Amino acid sequence: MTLLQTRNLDVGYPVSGAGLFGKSRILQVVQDVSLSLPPGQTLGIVGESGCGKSTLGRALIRLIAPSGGQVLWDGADLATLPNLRRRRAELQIIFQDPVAALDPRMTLGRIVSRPLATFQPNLTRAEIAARAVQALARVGLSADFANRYPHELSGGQAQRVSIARALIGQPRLIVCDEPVSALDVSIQAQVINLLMDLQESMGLALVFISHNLAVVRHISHQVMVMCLGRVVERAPRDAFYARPLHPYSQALMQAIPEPDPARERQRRGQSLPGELPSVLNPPPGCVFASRCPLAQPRCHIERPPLRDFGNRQAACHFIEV
Amino acid sequence: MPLTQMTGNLLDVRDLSVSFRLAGGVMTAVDRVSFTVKPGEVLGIVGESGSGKSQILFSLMGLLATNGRATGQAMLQGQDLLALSPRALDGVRGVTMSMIFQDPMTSLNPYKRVGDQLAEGLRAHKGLDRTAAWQAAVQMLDRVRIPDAAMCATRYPHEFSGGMRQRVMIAMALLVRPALLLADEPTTALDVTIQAQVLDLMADLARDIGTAIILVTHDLGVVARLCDRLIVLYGGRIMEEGSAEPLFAAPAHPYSSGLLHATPRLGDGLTPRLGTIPGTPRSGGAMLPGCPFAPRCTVKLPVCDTLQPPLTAIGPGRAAACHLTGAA
Repeated sequence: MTLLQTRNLDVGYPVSGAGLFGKSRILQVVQDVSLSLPPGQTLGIVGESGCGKSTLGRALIRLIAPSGGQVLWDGADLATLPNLRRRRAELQIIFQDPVAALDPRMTLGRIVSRPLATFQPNLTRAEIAARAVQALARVGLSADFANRYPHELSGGQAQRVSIARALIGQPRLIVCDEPVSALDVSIQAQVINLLMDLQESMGLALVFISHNLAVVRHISHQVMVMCLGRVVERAPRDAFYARPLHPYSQALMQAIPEPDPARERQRRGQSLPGELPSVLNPPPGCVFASRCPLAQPRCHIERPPLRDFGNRQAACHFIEV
Repeated sequence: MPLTQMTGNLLDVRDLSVSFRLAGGVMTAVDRVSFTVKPGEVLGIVGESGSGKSQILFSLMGLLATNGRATGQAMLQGQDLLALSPRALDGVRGVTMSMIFQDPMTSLNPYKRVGDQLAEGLRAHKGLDRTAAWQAAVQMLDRVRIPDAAMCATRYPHEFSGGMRQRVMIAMALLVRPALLLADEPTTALDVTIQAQVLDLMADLARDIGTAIILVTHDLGVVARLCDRLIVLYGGRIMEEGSAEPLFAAPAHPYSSGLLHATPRLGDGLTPRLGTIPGTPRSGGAMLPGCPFAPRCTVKLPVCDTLQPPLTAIGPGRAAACHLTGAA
């Protein structure tokens, strides 16, 4: 069973061309992404800045209209879904900067219950207030938070309020766009555990977007690695972390510094040189070719397709199983 | 420099406190912190937001906000940095001590060519002429692996990527061959593969030039990659200090241990949930009479709320400030 699916999804932004009267063109930020997510599971999307992971996350719930391909929600095309505004109760999103995501002039109770005005316009005031307190309780905040304002919150508390707001319409999916990157380590762990608890108790599906492979490992059932707008690898969590197939996934794994000095000492001096090409000027061949230690002339010319290897996929000419 | 020779320390910080005058009273950000740095050593200062870690660096550089005040002593090669006049401090900053910041873009002058920004320090502090300074700048850019350094020196900061800008900052800081480099979250704004490059670069240069580094970060992984020794800071006080390997292997303070368990890793077996520290980091307010970590500590004793545990030696080069370790 699939809750969320994409078929060859492309997302682009129009950019102005060279010069004052240059012809504007579409910059493809996400290209040819196909994925599927069953209910109650977490898909981790990993990549460095500019890889298109956040754009993809927004396109998944149609905050951005894709320029090609389809997003299927419960089997129906999101582009033609009747009454999408109301249906958004089911597909929610939380963002990286939890303080910027909350209106500073509203009480937290109002912030959290605001979506109900759209989703369930017939509720009475008392019902709305009760639902807000309920949602706050779910994320571990007491009822008196309903009367406070965002500036009174720490980053971790603000992210909890964002989660409460996403929960109030009884969602089936929450897209989490770098939800813990701005938080302190000890608070990051609290928020991740909260998301995992909520997933268990409510059967929530999560799309967890992050640059941190260690965090993604903890929360995800499947992992997708993106590079310059394309999927380079997709695999079940355990298979991926036991043996990442794509050289880019391996490089990412190798680059993460771990709190283990003995291990880190061995890794010193092994960083991969070079930088990724710009999104504005993507290479014709493999997106990782310019930095890949295994690259051959062919990689610079011919883009490797995403190939199946058992229950996983990777886009590299040289993977053998 | 008799003091340096006597103690073998490059930097000797004694009872450093940093406080800020605010509308509601005085906020103490750093409370009687003492530590030393040996020549060529890489010291990590780890802590969460509000721990005071960055303020330690700012106070050494004389860069505190105008309502801030630092007391205590910070001897660098026989001179007390906290007692120097602004004029005298100018003779130390960019000469024996330099600093790199978290955000390389806001630390570079957008109107000046990168090469000129680098050469400026050499001309001001080392008296080099324009041509010699420019040549040294290009050489240093090459050292930090900026491709085609001679051409890149003529470019402006906005033409560089984030990773390249941070390498320019490192080049600028190390061009004067300082004895001490202060680094405030130098790789936090960078992608992981670029972070790995920059950390490798800092380690190489520190070794080649013999520069000591104080690295301030929230990331225990970054400390593990780069540092010989570390200080764990919470609420403006040192909770624990020691050599990196033994401290990571067996943290003595409940806070260090909590931080380590809350950090997700690739190497371990998965646990159903991450370890957590309840509550939130201290943000402002008055100093507590007891241990600053007591409100969040899961193993605290009644005495922890009333009496600040002193930083006590618990082994060679190891110290912790906890009533529990003191008793053990």
